[in-house]
Amino acid sequence: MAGAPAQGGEGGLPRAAGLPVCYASRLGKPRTIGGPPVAMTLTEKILAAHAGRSQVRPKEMISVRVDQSFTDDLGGPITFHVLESHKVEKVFDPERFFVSAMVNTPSKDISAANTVMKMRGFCRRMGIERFFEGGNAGIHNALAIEQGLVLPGEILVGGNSHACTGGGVGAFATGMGSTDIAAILITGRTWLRVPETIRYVYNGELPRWVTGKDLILATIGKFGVDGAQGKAMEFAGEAISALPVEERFALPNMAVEAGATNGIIEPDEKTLAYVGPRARRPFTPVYGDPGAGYAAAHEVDVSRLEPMVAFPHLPSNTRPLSEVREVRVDQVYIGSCTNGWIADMRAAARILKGRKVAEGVRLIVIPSTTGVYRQCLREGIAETVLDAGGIFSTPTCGPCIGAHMGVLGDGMRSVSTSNRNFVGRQGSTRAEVYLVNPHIAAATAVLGRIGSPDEL
Amino acid sequence: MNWILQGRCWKFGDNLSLDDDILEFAKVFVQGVRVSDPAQLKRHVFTNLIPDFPERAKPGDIVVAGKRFGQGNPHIYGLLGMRGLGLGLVAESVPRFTYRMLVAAGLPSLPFCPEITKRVEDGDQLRVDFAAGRIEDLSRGLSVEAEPLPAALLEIIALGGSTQALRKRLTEERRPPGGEMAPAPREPSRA
Repeated sequence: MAGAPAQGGEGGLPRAAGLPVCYASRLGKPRTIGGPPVAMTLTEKILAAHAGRSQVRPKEMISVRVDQSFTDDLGGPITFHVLESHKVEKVFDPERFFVSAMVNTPSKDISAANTVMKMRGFCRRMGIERFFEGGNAGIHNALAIEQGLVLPGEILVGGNSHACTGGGVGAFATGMGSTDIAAILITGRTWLRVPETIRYVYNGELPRWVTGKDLILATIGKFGVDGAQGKAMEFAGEAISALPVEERFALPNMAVEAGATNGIIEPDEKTLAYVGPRARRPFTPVYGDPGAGYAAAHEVDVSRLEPMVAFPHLPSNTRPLSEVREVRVDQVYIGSCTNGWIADMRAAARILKGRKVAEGVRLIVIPSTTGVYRQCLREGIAETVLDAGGIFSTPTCGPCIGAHMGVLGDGMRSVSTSNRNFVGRQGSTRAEVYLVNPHIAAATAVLGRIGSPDEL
Repeated sequence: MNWILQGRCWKFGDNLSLDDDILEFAKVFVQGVRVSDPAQLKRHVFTNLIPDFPERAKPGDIVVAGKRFGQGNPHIYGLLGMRGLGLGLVAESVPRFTYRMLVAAGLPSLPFCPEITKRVEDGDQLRVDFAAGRIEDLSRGLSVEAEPLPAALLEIIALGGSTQALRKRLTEERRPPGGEMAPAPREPSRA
């Protein structure tokens, strides 16, 4: 933004053949940016490279280059209005921006339809070609990963709270407001306060029905919704390594629910095998330095963890499943940018197979992207959901924020695999939302009350 | 910009929410469209807590709040409304989205002032220097220090928020090159 911070600027960074250093080589030797080496965390190293600096310190203000940004049909109109009112005719780089109209689509009313139409027109004028809606719809936070638009070592800034999901591939990923996104769209840069890093190490073997979602719910439950206020949450340990890549994404996705700026997982072989074929551009993975300074480090033994349930009306209001008494439900929603991956769909389908949803319960299953949707059709997951008496929809984030496709009425109770259970989040301010993993959600749909697959 | 505000202390507790306590989100909409004009939004600030707040609050008054001021879905409208009333903010902590939005809204703020709600009382006369990070309680004769916002962010607030700062930057970019506001060099495509 206006005014370079005191120590900002591009000083001291040699650029190899006009390329920023982090793109200089795909094989990526450790980057030496001049001066004595300083031990930095993974987050600090990514930020330093994008600020053109050899070192950044926690809490300082920096200006960084942004590799990728996006918006949706909620923030998009505000972002585009800023550009239009400033008479901006050209964006910084149309390749570095995408739009996903996935909240109120397929257009739920006239106003939503008008919004999508206006946004399409704007993107056409600006040369922004990546527009996801209709036959290629998907939730941006998931699409960025699926489409290879957020890569290890990069900076992703999305116009959505849960843009931090991208940290699951080893990127610095964070969400910002619509005017911040407008500034990025124009300048390709943004300001950031370098977060201190808190390291969370998960050791031991995950028990049955316990997923990445439960790790993050348990963590938020323990440390609170401001437990990582303005910090970077770095997730590590053998339990994380053991998880398939897509099952890790729930952790950085919900980092924002602990108040964090970003959540991040160091890329390993599994990450690189996952990201490699999707990548839209060369990238160089970045790793934290040994001896880097952390604000705090917490170790968690996961071997005695249970599936977690976040009670209304905060994600931190968690209880282990065994302590949940009879909670009857009206709706079960399986999907969202937290748990709308193919792994989540498979988990739900395994439990629903050959069973029926309890009477009076509305089960809504929504894959996060068209790619996942297509895969569900191939594997018979859609049919399993229908056979069980559920609804299987094309991608949208509708019910997660009470926009459409399953809005809650007064006094209704929903079990949801999404990430927020604030008052009024999914509709009526007199409704209740409980957050769980897909195994528990599917079992709950069959039981008609919150419960475990072991009870079926 | 005058960074010193003097006025009445309006003290609130912890966890004030953006969409309910600070400014009810439904009131942001006029005929289905979100309003972002501070002069219009100011009529609804804190009215769910103190119904006649907008009439009683005077420019220069200071809102003192506890932890997690501005929690919930990151909607900027309440902060714009506070700017419309000419208020300043001293809070024990704010979520990071709210931190960015204070700057975007151009609201003079000291967002991390631990224990401030234990030091001052509602109705006290306060004088706050937002650039120096000093809160003086004139009624009690005490002074509290807090870390001010970084200079680069104060500059954005002085311009009236991020939209105005962006306008200034774009105006200067459209002029011949020069100065630290010059555009960052465009990087070659890496596709």
